[in-house]
Amino acid sequence: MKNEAVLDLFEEDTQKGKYLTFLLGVESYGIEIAYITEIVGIQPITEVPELPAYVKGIINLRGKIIPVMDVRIRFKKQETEYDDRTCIIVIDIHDISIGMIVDSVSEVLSIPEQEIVPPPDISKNQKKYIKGIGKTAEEVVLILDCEKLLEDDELDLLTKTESS
Amino acid sequence: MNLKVGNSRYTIPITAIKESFRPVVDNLLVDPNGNEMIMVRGQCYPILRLHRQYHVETSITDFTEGILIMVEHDGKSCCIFADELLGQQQVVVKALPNYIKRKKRITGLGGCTLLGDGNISLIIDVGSLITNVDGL
Repeated sequence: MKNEAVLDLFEEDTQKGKYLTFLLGVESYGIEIAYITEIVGIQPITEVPELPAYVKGIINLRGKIIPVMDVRIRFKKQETEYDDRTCIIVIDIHDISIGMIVDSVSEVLSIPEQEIVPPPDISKNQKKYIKGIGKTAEEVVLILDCEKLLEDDELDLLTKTESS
Repeated sequence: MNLKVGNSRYTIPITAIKESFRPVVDNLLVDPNGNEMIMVRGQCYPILRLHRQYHVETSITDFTEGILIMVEHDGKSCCIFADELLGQQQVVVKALPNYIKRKKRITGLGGCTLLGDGNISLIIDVGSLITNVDGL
């Protein structure tokens, strides 16, 4: 009995502390693996009008229609052409599926909690999407806060109308 | 009825469509506000350019190259301008993804559907299109 309980706990914990890392330009980003449904190559995207520029449109993923967001545009980086390294990471947060278009997917990393430091308080805008900074042997990984990625729209809209 | 604008496909319920035709230049009118209209059998109808409404890039912007689809809702009519008709077919209406619905209500879109070739077509809600677009 005791052993089983330990096993359950272990199963639950296998996804903890694991991060899928992907590249966006030169930076390495990580997302918690628990959020990820799957990774697919780039697909034909159907544009949907009247949406913010970073929402590229919708794709047909085996009969399921999911929106895709270009993370580059979301982070106000230079937009690039999609190539065969470009991937769509499908994530599922609170029953909302969304695809994230990234330059390329690297690997799954285990980053222990003590190796993750909170982001510095330099600018409020940047801190928004980054939950922490993970340190690994060779590099640093910016860990994304997926929930923030989906929300914060009102703020975005406000800044857009102000600038236009 | 499926229609094409640039690389996008749209679906209009056949019940809303009255007719489709290729306009004659002589019948086109433009009022001082820039609204385009067309005279059909003595009646004047406003024209809605789908590519302009939804900011779709297309090479067909001249009325004589595309096609006009006359739609009606609650006694109000207008002509939708598209690149070409793709044909009539039965479709299953799928809702737009929750993320998009939460983000914004898109004027005149009722949902989407999967076509036989795997492409996605956006379904036009004629009623909300006619009532919500300025100049109609």
